[in-house]
Amino acid sequence: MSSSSFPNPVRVLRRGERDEEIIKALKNEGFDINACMQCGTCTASCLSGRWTALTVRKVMRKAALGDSSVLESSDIWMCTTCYNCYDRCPRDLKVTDAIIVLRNLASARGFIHKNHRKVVQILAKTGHAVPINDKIQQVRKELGLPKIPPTLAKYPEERELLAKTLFQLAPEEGDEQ
Amino acid sequence: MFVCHCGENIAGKLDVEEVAEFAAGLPNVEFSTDNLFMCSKQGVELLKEAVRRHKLNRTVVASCSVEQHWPTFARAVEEMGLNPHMHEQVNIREWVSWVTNDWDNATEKAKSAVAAGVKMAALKEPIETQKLDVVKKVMVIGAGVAGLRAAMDLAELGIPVVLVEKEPSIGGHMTMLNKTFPTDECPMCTLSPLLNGVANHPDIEILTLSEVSKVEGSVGNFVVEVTTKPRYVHDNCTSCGRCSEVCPVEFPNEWDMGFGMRKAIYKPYPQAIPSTFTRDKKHCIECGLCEIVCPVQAVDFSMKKEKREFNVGAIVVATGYEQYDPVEITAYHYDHPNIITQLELERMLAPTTLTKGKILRPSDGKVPESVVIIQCVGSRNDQVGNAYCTGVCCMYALKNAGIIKEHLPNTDVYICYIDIRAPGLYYEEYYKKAQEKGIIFIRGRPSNIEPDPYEEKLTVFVEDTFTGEPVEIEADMVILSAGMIAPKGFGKLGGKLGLLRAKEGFAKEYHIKMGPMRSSREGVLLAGTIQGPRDITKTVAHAGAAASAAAQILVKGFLEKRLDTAIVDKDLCIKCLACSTVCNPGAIDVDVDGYAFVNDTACKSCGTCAGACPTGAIQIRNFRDAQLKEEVIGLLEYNRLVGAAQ
Ligand SMILES: Cc1cc2nc3c(=O)[nH]c(=O)nc-3n(C[C@H](O)[C@H](O)[C@H](O)COP(=O)(O)OP(=O)(O)OC[C@H]3O[C@@H](n4cnc5c(N)ncnc54)[C@H](O)[C@@H]3O)c2cc1C
Ligand code: SF4
Ligand code: SF4
Repeated sequence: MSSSSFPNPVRVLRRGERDEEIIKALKNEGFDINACMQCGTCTASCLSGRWTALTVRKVMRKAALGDSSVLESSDIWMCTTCYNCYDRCPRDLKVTDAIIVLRNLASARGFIHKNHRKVVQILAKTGHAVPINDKIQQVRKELGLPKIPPTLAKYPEERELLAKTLFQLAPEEGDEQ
Repeated sequence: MFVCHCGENIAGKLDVEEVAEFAAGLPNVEFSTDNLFMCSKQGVELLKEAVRRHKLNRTVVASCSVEQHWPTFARAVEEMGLNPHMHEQVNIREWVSWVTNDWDNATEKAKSAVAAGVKMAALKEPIETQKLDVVKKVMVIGAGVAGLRAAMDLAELGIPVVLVEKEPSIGGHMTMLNKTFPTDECPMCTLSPLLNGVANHPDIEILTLSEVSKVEGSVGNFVVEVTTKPRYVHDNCTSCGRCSEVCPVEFPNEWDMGFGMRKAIYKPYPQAIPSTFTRDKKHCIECGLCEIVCPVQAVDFSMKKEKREFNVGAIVVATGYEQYDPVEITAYHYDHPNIITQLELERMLAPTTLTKGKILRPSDGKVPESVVIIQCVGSRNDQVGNAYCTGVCCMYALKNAGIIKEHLPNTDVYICYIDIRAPGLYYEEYYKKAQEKGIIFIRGRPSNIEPDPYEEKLTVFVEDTFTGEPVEIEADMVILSAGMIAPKGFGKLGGKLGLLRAKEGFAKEYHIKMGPMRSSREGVLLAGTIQGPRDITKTVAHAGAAASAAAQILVKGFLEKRLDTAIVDKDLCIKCLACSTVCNPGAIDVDVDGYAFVNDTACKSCGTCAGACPTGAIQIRNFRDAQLKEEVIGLLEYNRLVGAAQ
């Protein structure tokens, strides 16, 4: 342990303090995030980042360092998955895919916005993110389409199965509710 | 038997003492020991002393590769009065310790290799060396600054040089530059003494408009065929330029990267060497005006392509580089007139071009108020397959940003970069000077440039990674620091020369540290950027090293060739000549009685013939079937022994 003359020094995360799960999840995705050279091409490409606090480069940095605060912040949810950064990264890193991996990990830990949570609950209940209400059913009828489209909504058994598995979210946590 | 620790290289991965003890028990082994560094003076003395004391007639050292230290120990046994080939080298470093972390298995593998080596050693035959005459002449291919330097250095050592250049004039890329970092000197001023020196040297023959079309032979004695395209103007041209004045065809000059014009009969630039004009057949409309006005009747449309053969002892390849073509990175819109490369800027800055050396926006000739320079275009980019850093563009960007500031003090000049690479003496200082000139440095790689559809304006999107903000820069001009890549046609020449290439396309060096100027082929040397991107300072040093390596082969007047070559047993030869058809260097002839006969000079000891021979009549000395069989038996016997014990 080194000593510091500052009262609350910010120390770099050391072995044991790093969130290895983040690093492992990205590795499993075939991703070497350490190869990121922090050039910022991703941030400059990012349409969402012009309006929100999302700085893709910083997300990549924190993930590479195993800094779990990246999962708790709302930044990763601001990505529109336009794949501009993915397309342009000179180190050929699958940047957007990395964000999706981080979102999965965050959801698994319960870091998910209440509105997103609602969407998942509706999905579990109806098989659709936008439920097929009476108005939509009417429009479908006018267009000569079957009342219920041939999606998950049409297969209640499968929907129930998924509601018990895939659409199960970890209990609410963090400051995201 | 001597087992080397190679410090921790071997001893850190396997039990060296156990291997030495094991060897002591093998048949024919009189003496066995281990040593910290066999290649040290003490190690070599230990070996010599053992030969003397135990009257050894063969030695085996288990250490590194044949390439690395066989010669060291072979010399030692030769000094003790044995034929150098009585020494056998067993590689337990590259083949064993460097490729594993498994202590027990590594020790076992080392033992089996030693067992095989001892078997082989017992059967080794003495081999003589032969002195071969070499041709004291060098061909230098490519006449950029690297080729010129190498040609001059060789000629000054009294070695005649044939300098082959594919363009109409010599000098390469350096003649296209406006200034050179880190001194901002005029490159033509620094280069022209060398250019003129080469052009006027009695021992240098220059062939322009020429390319190598065939290569035969081997180190010390190559036969190279050179094909020269017709210039359509004879050497008696006085360079008066009347032909060019009357020529009605005008179009962009390649040498000026389109920033200047030339005629169909032309000289690329005023100081071009040779000064003889060239008629460009592709663009010529054959009006014949030039023929009529030429006061010395030098113009001759009937000139034909010529082929000539040269006999040389060594070849220096100095075919340089090409600028990366940024058109591939679509987000940068290189097809836009106001987005140019650094090499194009270098030409724009020349007084002989269309802008007369002024920096003007190409689309409308306006003085730019904002110029953005983008680094690492086509370098450090896995997407385009160039992972490497060119290592020169940061420096020339600093140079050209400074020059823009000098020309246009009221213009904003930005450099968007990932890292500024300016290592070494005077280079970081140059960076600091550029900062002091008021250039705005933005650490971030632009994602895209957006041309305004209605105005000439460009917008550059980049993250200022120091503030963490995505920013937009409005620019009148954007200059792309396009990296240096291997010349596109190099594959063909490399194939003729039989050179290995790195995956990036450059010629592969023999050893990155100990032989950066040697190629994968003996007698073929590499000079300058054909081995990898570098600036002029390093190009000149590299070319000097290549010249010296070429001279090394030739100054003695002879080569010593080890005759561990192929040999034919006439009793077994059935005269089918299968060997001769597979022999790549063409080393197999037929003797008067119709038997295969090996030309030792040309034979590369590759053993392909031995594989093709149906009767086993052709064999490589010291790699005969019988010898290899014994080596394999050694290996198998050991493994059976261990297998039985387990
Ligand atoms: C924009 C820019 C600015 C630069 N500025 C600087 C600077 O300020 N300072 C500095 O130190 N360096 C600078 N450099 C780097 C410099 O240009 C190179 O280091 C140098 O020119 C390399 O010389 P060379 O002889 O290896 O290659 P080249 O100059 O490319 O010469 C190769 C020669 O070989 C010929 N050739 C190619 N193929 C064949 C063939 N098959 N047969 C026969 N001939 C062939 C070519 O026509 C050419 O004449 C700059 C580079 C660029 C791109
Ligand atoms: S573009 Fe790629 S290399 Fe550059 S900062 Fe983003 S992820 Fe890292
Ligand atoms: S020298 Fe500079 S600009 Fe060129 S590739 Fe390397 S880091 Fe990029």
